Amino acid sequence: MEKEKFIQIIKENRNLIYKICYTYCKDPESRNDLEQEILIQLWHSLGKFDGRVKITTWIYRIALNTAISYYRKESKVSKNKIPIDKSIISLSNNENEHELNQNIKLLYQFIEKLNELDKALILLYLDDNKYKEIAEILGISETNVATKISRIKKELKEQFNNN
Amino acid sequence: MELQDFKNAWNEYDKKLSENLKLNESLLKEINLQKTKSELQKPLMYEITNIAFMLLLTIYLAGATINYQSEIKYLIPGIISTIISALYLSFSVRKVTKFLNLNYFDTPILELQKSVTSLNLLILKLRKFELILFPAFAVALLPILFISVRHFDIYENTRLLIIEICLIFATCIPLSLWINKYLFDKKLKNAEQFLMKINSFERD
Repeated sequence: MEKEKFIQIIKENRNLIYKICYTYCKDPESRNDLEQEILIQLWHSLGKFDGRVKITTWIYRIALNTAISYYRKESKVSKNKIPIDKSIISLSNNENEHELNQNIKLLYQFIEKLNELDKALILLYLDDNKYKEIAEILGISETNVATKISRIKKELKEQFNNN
Repeated sequence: MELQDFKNAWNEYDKKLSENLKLNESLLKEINLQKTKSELQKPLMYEITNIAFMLLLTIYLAGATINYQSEIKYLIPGIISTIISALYLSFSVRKVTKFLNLNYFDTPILELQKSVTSLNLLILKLRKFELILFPAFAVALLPILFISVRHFDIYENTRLLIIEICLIFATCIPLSLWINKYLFDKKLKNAEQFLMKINSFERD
């Protein structure tokens, strides 16, 4: 696949990649490393993309799988990548992470406490994916997705009522 | 506050990201993605190198054992070291086959995580076994390697042979016990727990 086409795909899906990196890595250095790992995986895999599923489903699968594996790794920062001290996908100069809406801050705090699989589930839900799509990306039944979402909703409600 | 409120806030956040997120194209172009190895490829490359090395060693040891088959003092260690070397080779082949069967690009998350974790478990169990076998391998390797490479009969110098054997056992056994206990067992436990977590996530 040509690099220009790849860049275009990444550009169109930069929000998705950014949110996954932000959800799974709080430390900026690890986040840059995870971002690079996701981009490498996408680059190596997009040649195999045959269009049977939506491109976003494909990207979610690769990016979330990479993020979950990365999250589970003991040593976070790898030695075999190009050392970069800035993100490839980043907020423009006049915006920064600290200016997040209070609800989003609370949401990220809640997500941080979830395990790596629930993190993926809630992220897919918040990103407006349908239960069917979530089920397809995760590899569980739609009923299972509905049950889990309803459980997370309950936990979220309890947590914010306590705050 | 309801989840719908958070969802609305999240949509707003997403819109804001669309307006403000920039892709650093020049930095992306700087990274030679074609040549960059993914984290997942590292253990695969290690095992492939291992296959090449163990294959050569097994062939060499088998050849040397055949050459010295008339002398029982070389025949027995030769057979033992060839068998262990072939075992190491078969372990690496098994690991690489499992690696190559992973469909990283077209598999739902849970299925892939399960396969990756099962592969991890297999690698750890085999590495533990490889480590346990190593002292026996090293001791059996010495006579056949010395005679075939250096034409030196290690049995002529009993003192040297005993020192070498003692050294191998004194270092390898505590080291392998330590590695197994503090590295592999911990990782095995983590992998088993994650596999249980995936199964329970699937079942709920």
